[in-house]
Amino acid sequence: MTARTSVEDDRNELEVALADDRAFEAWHRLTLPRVYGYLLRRCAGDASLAEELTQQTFIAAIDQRARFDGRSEAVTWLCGIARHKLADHFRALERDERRHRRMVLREIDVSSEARPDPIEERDAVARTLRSLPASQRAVLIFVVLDDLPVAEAARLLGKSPKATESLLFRARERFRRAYTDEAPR
Amino acid sequence: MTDEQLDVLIRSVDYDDALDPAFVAASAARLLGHVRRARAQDASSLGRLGRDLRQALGVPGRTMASPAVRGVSLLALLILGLVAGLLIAGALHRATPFGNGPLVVSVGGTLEAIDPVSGAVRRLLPRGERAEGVSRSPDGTVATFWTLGGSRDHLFAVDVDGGERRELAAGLSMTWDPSIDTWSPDSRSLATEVTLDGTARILIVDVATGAARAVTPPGMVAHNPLWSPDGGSIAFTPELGGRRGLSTIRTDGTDLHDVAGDLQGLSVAGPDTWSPDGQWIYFSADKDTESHAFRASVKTRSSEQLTQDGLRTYAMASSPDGSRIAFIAAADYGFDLWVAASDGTGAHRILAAGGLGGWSSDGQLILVKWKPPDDTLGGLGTIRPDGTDLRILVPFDPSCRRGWDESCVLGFGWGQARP
Repeated sequence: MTARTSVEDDRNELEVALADDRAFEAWHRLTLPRVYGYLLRRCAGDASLAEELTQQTFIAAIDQRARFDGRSEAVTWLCGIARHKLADHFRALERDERRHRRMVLREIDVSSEARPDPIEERDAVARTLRSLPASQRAVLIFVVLDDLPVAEAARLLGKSPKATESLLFRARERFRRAYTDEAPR
Repeated sequence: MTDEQLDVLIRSVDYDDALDPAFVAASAARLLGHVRRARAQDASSLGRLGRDLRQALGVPGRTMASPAVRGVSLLALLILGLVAGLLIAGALHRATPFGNGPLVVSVGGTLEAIDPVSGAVRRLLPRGERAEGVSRSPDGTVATFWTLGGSRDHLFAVDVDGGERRELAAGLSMTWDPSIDTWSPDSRSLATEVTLDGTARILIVDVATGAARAVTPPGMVAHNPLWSPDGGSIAFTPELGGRRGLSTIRTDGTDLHDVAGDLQGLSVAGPDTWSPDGQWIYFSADKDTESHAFRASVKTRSSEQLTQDGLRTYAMASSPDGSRIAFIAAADYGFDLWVAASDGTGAHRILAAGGLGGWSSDGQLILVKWKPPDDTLGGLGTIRPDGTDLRILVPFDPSCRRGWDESCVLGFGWGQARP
């Protein structure tokens, strides 16, 4: 999908999509899977969370439509909004954890059976990620999965670069320890 | 498992991203209401005016509005710019000299020099530059900053009195590792942490000539440089075997050694400040939810804990005369700002919901990031060490606040070491 629709039509992709209901539904069908897929991976496979953040992303995109300048594909812009929604989610989680003075602990299946296949490894990584405190999970997602510079991740997380760097170090350490218990054997 | 193996493992994970048809249908139905409201807004007179103004400003990818609308809009902008310029000029004219020099701040990427006495603000760079990692020389004459992105990051210096920016270390292909850049006491050199050939190293940059050289050995991962008061050494955090320690090295690359001693498994967050006599290096070290303030004796190469176990303390700064330290401690809401004697005794809280930005060079003020629960109140400002006279210099935009988090102030420097 390109930013412009035709030589005669100088509206950008988003303006065209918002012009009538059918155009929007078509654009929504096209872009929704990309945004959802982006978020699902970063939510460690939590489909309901990914759906909720996807919906928030589209609402924000409509509200902020004037900011889309058509220079990039709209789906790229949408994923940028999705990243901010994800950061908001992790910050809210972190505040909640701090408020309650506890870490988020999830039920973990510690079956001792051998789990050699990739699905089990995927699940082990997902469980390990979910067992991390929100801020540590967030920094791993932004720096490792999204390949963002630490400074950019720091901005998203609302922390100083130095604090984010330290957070990343602790996140990797904690992931390492937790994954050792979780990894397929 | 190395960091690289860990990253590969996390990146390798994929999920079945097939969408639930019920979600797709419900999503579209709910969004159509928003779309229709947006359409109605855009069709209104105000909506059309907003669109025409955006087009008049020439947002790429758009055709321009009619010449008449464009002309009126540009004229309005010119008048606004003129008024703003006159206001700024007037404010600067009222500015009086002061002892601590200007506070240099990047607000949303715009680099500004602020007179902490009068509050006058002067922009140091043209609009469009996005300055991060800001620092200011101890003599108050030069600010440095980074611009990020592209194939490498760029380090620049600009005179605080104005003038063109100039690039430093221009010949190096490097990425800035966002620790706080630190100046030599003579204001001639900057130490910064960069990634060179895949390894975090400490770089010394001659600010006058732009020449740069790495001071830490090629194989050593090194973070968070902090120049000693005599200018002869740099304290930094080496990363060895998954643990971060505290070391010093001479600026010519010799005499590298650990100074923290046994921290019983705690990891050093980074050297925060030297005592002015160069005998101590203050730092915090943490493990899981535990974090304590320490000082390491450069002479005996051992550390002593300064704060009680029950207090989760972080970032510290020594007062310029070495008699006191300021630090932050975890609180029910974010962090509180505390002050203690330099040996950790007499610790007491001076400000709730306060982050630490270091001391003024005269020791009369502490720079704070005040973030009260009411998002409309906070800002970067100063407070006296006795907890009185809180004064906000850069109010935080409420839209940049999310509870304790603030995202618009991208860096600042006041010529002193800060955590």
